[in-house]
Amino acid sequence: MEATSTLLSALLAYQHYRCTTLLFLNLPKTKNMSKIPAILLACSGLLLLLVWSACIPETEEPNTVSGLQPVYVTPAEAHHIYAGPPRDIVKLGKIYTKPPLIYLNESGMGVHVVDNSNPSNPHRIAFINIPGNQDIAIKNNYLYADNAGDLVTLDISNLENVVEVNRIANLYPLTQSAYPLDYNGYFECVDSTKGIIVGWIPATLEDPKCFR
Amino acid sequence: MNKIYFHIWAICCLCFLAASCQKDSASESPNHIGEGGSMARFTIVNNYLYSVDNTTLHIYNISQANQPVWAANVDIGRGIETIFSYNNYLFIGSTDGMYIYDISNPTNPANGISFEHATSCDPVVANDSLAFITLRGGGDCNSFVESGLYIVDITNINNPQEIYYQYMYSPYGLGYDNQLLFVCEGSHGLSVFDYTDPQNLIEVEHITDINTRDVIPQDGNLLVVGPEALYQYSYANPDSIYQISTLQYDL
Repeated sequence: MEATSTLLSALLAYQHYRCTTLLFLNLPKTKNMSKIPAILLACSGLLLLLVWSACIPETEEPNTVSGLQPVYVTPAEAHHIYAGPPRDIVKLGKIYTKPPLIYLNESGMGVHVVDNSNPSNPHRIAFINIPGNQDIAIKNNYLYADNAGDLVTLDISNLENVVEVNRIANLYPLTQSAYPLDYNGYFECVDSTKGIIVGWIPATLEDPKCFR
Repeated sequence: MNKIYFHIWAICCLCFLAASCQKDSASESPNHIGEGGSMARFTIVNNYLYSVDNTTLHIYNISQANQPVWAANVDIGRGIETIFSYNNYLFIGSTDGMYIYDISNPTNPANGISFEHATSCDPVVANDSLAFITLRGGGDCNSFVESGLYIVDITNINNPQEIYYQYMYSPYGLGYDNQLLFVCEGSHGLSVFDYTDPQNLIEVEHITDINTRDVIPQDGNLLVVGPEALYQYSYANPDSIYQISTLQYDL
């Protein structure tokens, strides 16, 4: 579409240039200018204006749309895993359970730990901060989690002091974070020099170049 | 007198044996592994952790739980979304189908049998004869297909056969237990079906006043999560499913 309009405007510009030169070249010779080049000139000029006016808002005025924006953190921040007090659940992700505890994933942030010893009165007891996290699985007292592309193993025997005991780099290839998964629409293009992507947040984007 | 000492000694030995046996059985029981919802990308089967990204199955040996060791990668396809394990099989949900892998050899999954359908979002759960799949069309799933619930007969694992389809407005995660199938329907609540006859599902309950995303049914207690709260229901008696609690997300 863009290529067609560029070609069209190039053709029109050429036509306009030809007519103008013809006009200027003819001027000194005769004042009775042929009507055909004049009409052509007017028409092509008008068309050129139309084509250009269609282009102007895209190039000069920002095209504002809503979409997603990557959340960047430094590698040190991305690997900072710690347990803290319970907090609000904002964007629920996956669910996991190993009775009597339930783990509710805060999409891209970590897991809320819920004590469900009494199912009629579940209550939050901790939040484990795991940047970029979506999934967990538990064996014995060890919790496996994806953490900004890596696979980490956490000792959760003491929920007040969760300890990272193992890290395997590149569980998922980083290309996965080059675009938001399960999403259709505009998003801000990824700039890997800005850091590691741990998630995507809704944002108002100016003239976004990326879409899926 | 010696006899008494022998008895005491024998009793001590028995106690010690019993204690050590108890410990052994505890560490060997499957209860030491947790359970995820149907949207999970991680699952543990015995000594292996299986994880799927968009295209690939990653396998880690976790015999030493505190020290996973990468074991293998397997290319699956495109648009991989979920993984579920049952006995010696992995059921992998993708945007264009379900893949079944035999993991009798845990690090060398065999026979990527596929059941294909139109593009959509689709978690899958299964037992030894049936696979339950939901498809959700619409914007965020790259899809315009009609949403619904599929039941696939996998008695012959090499030849999965679709035996049931039912339209659903916006199905998400699902789970089964004890002849009951629980299907999340987003803002349309939660449906509970009796699948004793899988070709003729009977809806036993439709809870409409909650917004739902995924479920974990476990021993008569159902965990239901949505964007606003965690709900728990008792299904110990299928004829009388009732709510136990609600955990609101705002503290």
